[in-house]
Amino acid sequence: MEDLLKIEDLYVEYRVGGTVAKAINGVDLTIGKGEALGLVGESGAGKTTTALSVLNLLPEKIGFITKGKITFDGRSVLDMSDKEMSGIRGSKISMVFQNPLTSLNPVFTVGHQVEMVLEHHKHLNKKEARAEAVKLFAMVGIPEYRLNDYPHQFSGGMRQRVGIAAALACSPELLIADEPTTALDVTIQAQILEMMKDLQKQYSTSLLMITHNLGIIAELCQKVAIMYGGKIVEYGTVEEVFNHPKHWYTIGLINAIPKLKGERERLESIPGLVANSQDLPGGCSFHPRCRYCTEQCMNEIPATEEVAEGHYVACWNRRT
Amino acid sequence: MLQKIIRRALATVVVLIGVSIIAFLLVRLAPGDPAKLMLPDTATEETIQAMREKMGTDKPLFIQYLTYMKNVLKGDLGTSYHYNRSCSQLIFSRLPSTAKLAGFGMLLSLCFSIPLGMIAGIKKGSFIDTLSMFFAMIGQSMSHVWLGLMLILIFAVNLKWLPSMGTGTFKHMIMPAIVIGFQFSALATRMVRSGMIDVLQEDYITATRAKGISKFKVYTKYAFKNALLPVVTVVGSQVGAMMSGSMVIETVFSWPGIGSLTTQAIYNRDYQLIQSILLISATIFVVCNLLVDILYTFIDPRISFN
Repeated sequence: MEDLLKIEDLYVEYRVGGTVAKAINGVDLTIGKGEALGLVGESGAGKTTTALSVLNLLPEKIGFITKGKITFDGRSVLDMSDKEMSGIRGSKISMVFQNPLTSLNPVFTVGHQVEMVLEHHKHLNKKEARAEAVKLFAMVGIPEYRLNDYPHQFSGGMRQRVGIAAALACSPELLIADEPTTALDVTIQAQILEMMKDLQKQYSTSLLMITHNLGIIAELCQKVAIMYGGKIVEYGTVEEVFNHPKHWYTIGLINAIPKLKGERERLESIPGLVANSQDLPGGCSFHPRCRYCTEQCMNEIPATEEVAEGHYVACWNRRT
Repeated sequence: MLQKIIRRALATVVVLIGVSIIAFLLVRLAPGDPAKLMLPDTATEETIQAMREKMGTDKPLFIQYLTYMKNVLKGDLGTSYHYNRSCSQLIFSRLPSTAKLAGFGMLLSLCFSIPLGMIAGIKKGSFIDTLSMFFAMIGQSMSHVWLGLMLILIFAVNLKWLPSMGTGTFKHMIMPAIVIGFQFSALATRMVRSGMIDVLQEDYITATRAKGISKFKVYTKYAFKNALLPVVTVVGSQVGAMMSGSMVIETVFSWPGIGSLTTQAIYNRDYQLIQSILLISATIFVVCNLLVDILYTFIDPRISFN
């Protein structure tokens, strides 16, 4: 499969005042054309930062890419001019944001928030953009008469549909979905996911699905990357990683899912707190929480090894 | 919508009735007998009493108020004792000057403060930002009188570029308009700046940028409309205040508006005129606020009259 997006050895820091948070510490990630990749991790693992780096939209004067390369469709994203980047954002790469309650502009109609993408990228006039927006809204299940409504007149689920309609307006090659259903209740989650699945197939869009819900990954994605402390700790096909997890963090995540069959027992959890990016532990950043931690884990950053075909793990003492 | 506007307007009427009572009472609480002021010092007690009866000030306050309100509703604001002219004539002949000054002053300060506030907010922590905050501090703490006198000293007395007083040409308007708008510019700059800083941190701004919209357009259109909301509120109350005339500024520049009329009316203890000015000023103020409230619903769809 041809690569669409390739992230190589990416390092990102946030600098506020005198403190430095090392949000991303050497991420390598590849998404093929038409492929759906799930990016999993706890809050603060660097998932959203990865997504914003791809769009080169890290908060100005706060977020810095200190090292690494991001290639989209054969071109280096970080070397593009503002104008080139503007041409790609929203058309070739688009993003659905985590919180539909805050990601729509409250003083513009929902219709306008989709039309502005069409006007900008497809150079449509107002009338054409409106006609196109009506089609997009129909696709996500919003009737035409609601286009002149404002975001506050919509429920969370409906707002996320608007976000998705805007993201798909220009049939992007890569859709980044940053926890698109986290802020929604379960039934609405199911609807939105079903819809995204259909649309992804229909447009053969590549998908970068950011979530901390492993169920969503199993449902939507072919590949999965597990992120911890700003690094990918395990990567492979969904089947391989979920059935034969090797990293203790992945194993912990999978064990933390309630099971339908078997005896009911107390749900397992991973002890400790997520790694603090302002003060990352040395060696493997997961070591303070790992039951199988060795001397080596505390001192040396684990190398990434291929344990089976296409299955990569970064752990000194992985499960065998 | 229309129903809501009408309901809001009715509430305004209640406010105005309150204002009329206060204006009426305040003026009468002040020491001094207007009948005596109208007559020479040598007037006899009988003449004074006759004058009181003629002016109606011998009757109980309640009756005086009712008579006054009855006339106001008929459009008669009474006669100024001092000028011996109808109050409405006096006030409305001065109103255009004040309105002109207020309009120009407001325009000037918005043209200055909105761009400055925006740039300061976008470039937070930069030199321009520091400069704008310095200006905001100075502007809000500087007195009108001092600023007016300094401008006169520099531009009228020393440089002789602008006339120091009076009205007529555009040149006459420049200095008083700067003074009237100065404090507001400082306030508005600060508000636009903080509004911009807040809005630029919102998710929807990142989301708009992720749609490929240029920074410039995001600032000037998508963030601007949100940042403008708090400013509209203060503009409303400020326009009201400016429209009812500034006593200090109009006196300093001898500007023939409501403000200088008020000053004179107070010196002359011209009851009828003072109370009519108060009533008209309050009406202007309240109507301006009403208009802003209506305008607000157009800018921010989340707000309705509730």
